[in-house]
Amino acid sequence: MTSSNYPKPDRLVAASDDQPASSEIVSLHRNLAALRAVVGGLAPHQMGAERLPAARAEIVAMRREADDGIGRILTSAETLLAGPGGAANDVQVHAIAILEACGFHDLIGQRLSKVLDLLCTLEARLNSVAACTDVMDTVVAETAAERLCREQVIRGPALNGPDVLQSEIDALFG
Amino acid sequence: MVANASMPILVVDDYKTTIRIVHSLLRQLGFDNLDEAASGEEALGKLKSKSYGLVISDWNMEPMTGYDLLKSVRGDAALSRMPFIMITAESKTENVVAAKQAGANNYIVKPFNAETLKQKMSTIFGEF
Repeated sequence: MTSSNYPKPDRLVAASDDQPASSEIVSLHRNLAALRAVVGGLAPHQMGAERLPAARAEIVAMRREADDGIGRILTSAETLLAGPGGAANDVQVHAIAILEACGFHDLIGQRLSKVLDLLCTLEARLNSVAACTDVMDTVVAETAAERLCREQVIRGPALNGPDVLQSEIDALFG
Repeated sequence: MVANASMPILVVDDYKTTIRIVHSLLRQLGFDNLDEAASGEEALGKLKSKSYGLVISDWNMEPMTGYDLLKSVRGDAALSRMPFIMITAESKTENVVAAKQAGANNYIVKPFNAETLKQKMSTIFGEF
């Protein structure tokens, strides 16, 4: 619709007996209500401020842990190959296979970068939506998986290492 | 209880990688009668059809978690005394307390190593 197609104010004011203008307002109102419902369903406040940043933090932690793990694997394989007089032939073959397999790390890193970029974009756009609208997040019913995680306090690995030390667990178990 | 190198041990985890790691560590400790299950349901089925000397289970699996498996084991008269070690990334105090209250013999936080596994098994079976 171009600006010239919008109903003129004087026609809207005098629309009580003007069926086309009235139905257009009803239609606009209906579409606006539907749009507000859709935006509310996106939960822009919660998604932009909590869930997407939390998802990014999980990916960053995953990369850090993968980096650490792959570093130790490579060090071990390299140590095998660098042993005195070189490794026995079959050990050498397997150590090289380990090194080759570690190539997955580079590919995963690149794929994760794409996902991180997408999450950043989504986060910025949802924060814009949240900032320029008075629509509240729609409260969505808890899923079975979410209920299970809440009831059994399942959160997966902590972002910065275990919250409780093994020694503390040992003390609890006596 | 005494550790027997030939006692069947059931390792329960939905990540095959973890099962392979735990099996390798157990072999290094001298145990070679090893079995596996990818979920709580599969583990419970195996536990009811065969005698095991130890269950080592992850917590976070679907649809039946390791915590639910533990409660089922402790609630079954034939299995209630089964040694049960939880190995999990869940590291909140409430997780540990819940596992202890549900009857876990011990609890190991991932990542872990062979020495930690041996120590926790020793608390159940004594030195081996």
